[in-house]
Amino acid sequence: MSVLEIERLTVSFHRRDGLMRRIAIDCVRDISLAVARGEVLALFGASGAGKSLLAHAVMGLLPANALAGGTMRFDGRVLDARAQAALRGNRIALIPQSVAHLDPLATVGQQLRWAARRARHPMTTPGAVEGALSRFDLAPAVAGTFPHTLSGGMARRVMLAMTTASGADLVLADEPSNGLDAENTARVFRCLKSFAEAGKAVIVISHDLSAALKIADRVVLLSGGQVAAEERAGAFAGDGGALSTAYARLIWNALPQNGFSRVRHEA
Amino acid sequence: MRLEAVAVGFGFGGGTPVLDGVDLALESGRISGLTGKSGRGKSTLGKILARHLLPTKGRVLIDGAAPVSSGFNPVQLIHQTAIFAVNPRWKIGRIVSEACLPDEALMQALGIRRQWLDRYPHELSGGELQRVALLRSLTPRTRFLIADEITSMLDPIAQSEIWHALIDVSEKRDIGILVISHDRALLDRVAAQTVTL
Repeated sequence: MSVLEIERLTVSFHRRDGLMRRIAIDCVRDISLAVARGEVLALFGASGAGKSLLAHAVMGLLPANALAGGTMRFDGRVLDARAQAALRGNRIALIPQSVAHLDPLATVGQQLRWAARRARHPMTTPGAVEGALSRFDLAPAVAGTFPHTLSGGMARRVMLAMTTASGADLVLADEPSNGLDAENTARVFRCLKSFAEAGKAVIVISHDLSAALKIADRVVLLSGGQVAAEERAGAFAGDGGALSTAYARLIWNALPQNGFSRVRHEA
Repeated sequence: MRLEAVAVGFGFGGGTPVLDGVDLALESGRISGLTGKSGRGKSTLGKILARHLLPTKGRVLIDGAAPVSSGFNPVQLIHQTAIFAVNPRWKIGRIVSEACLPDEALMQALGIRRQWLDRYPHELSGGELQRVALLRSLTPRTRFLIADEITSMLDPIAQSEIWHALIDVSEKRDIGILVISHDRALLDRVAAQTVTL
């Protein structure tokens, strides 16, 4: 059964046009998708395609001048503002893009304990924090450090440890491989895959298709705020003959490791 | 024309230097790659070659001589995020004509539309703005382009389109390009040879 179902989600922004008029700009239009337990769904698109807006709409973290339309359901129940506030941080977790999302004034250990407490599984036994860190190849000493001393890869793993501590059923990872080298990317992706294997639903947001394909079961391709294609991850192989849409084939064959084909894109 | 870094070193304060005794030579009309793990100093070397940074050791030479320090810089640097490289209060039309009037054929090759010229930078997408930054940098006096992860934020279609245009420009106008990237597959496609830092 689907953990998260999104039906015809639209996100628009209000902007002033001159002094008197207000106009609405649609940034996400009519997006429908679902993700089930044990599944990794990759959400692929270039910058500006609406990937992060979608994640923030699910979390209920859109900016004040944004308006979301459509219906979202979590575990079969309508996901409205009140449900989002109740589920955020315990049953739904977002792994944000950068170290800037960690609290700069609290140690890693404190933040890990807060994450566990928010989800009502407080870490009370001695060594619990260190144990949670070691599962992500982080030394016990990391618990006493502040976020600014962490590298990008370490910060990402701290956020993964916080997600695990929360015991969430739905994990959204926003650009988990951004700014990481190959070794750290593989590590972070292994962690995300292990979440799905443990029965969680995982949504990986990425502009790096080949990286996302390594762990995804399905891929939703976004373009200009809309769903341009939905494909099985396994169909991205060879010359793309198994792909069901022309757009997905175009993207696949433009990758340098494939055809690097020269196509005129209608921007 | 030849752009060279000779025994270049760079460090902050008394710490371990980011670069130490690095040599690199670029030829105009040739595309070379530069790769290496995060933190190895790839971007620092790019900035030194374009003289956005002065090396703490060693020299940068153009055709064996120290480059002139005023006037148009024949070595143009392009960043990963174009939005930080443009004036947010200028319209695109003014941005692309800062050094000289843009070439019509080049505008087409880079896929730049006329209607963008009347917009502000934040009204274009990342990929569109990167094309604008490239157009601005490719003047008749440009001899080298330092391309620091210029397509890593873009979708594969935009990436392929921009690189095919740059390969043509490099050949036609005898411009040397240094491609700084983590993407081995991309470097294998576009660069004649690749150096690992």
